[in-house]
Amino acid sequence: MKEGALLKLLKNPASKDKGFKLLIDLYQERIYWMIRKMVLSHDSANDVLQDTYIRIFKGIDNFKEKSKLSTWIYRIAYNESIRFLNKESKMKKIELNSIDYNYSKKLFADTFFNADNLSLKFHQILSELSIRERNIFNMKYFDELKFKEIAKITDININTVKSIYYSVEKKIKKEINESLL
Amino acid sequence: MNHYYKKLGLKVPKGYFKKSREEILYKINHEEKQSNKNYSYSYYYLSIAALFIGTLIYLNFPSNNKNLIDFESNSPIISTVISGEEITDEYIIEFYSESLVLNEIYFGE
Repeated sequence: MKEGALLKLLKNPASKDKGFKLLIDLYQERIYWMIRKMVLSHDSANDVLQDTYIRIFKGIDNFKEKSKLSTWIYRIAYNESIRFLNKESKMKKIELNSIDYNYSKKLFADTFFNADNLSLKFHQILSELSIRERNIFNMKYFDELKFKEIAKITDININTVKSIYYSVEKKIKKEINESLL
Repeated sequence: MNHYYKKLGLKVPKGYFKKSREEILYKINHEEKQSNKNYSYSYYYLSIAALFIGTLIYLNFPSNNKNLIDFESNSPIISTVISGEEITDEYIIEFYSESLVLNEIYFGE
């Protein structure tokens, strides 16, 4: 279904519920994985996913269509995840340029995590990145979002997004190749 | 979506997305009911407040403007404005005669 048609359903009170069910079917998995990669534990991701959908439902009438619907949804999910991380860290605002020193702790504490050696190596590299670098890399590499979309979601200049992604990609490739030798 | 990430060891419980869908819809339904409830509550409180203010105005207005109302209600000129009739000598005489009968003529200070 095209975004325009979905939006029509969502903005009409008579078809809003139907539209919302379609919206869940379309984006639920994609949003979940984006959130999961940010908050790491399944239970936390589940909570953030639900909060994200409640926010989408409440805010859809005010969606001005200045961006694609999917970008708007990803941005809400991203902001909800950051809000969760702030709450979790008991700080007012987490420093996105800093490393999350609890990355491995959170990962291994999760019941729904079971990785092989290569995956563990990948996680080790990701854990050494700043939160911002990791988010940008994940969004491009795993979620296959466009640079333009990532820039809008994270509110970071597109050139900065590109430069961060390429430097992280280079670093990961180098370290993975070294570990395979 | 690139499903490779799932191979990095992040997993979800069996049937999670189906269950999650139902949970989201349930929560949204609940939120919707809650916001409707809040709306009707605020409507209810606003109605009570409006009724209260209206009563206060009704009770206070005549006592605060007693002279004005008394003057207006007993003036033949205002009376013609209200009734839409033309001011004539006959009308004024008739007005005061009627008022005399009712013993409600306003003579002023």
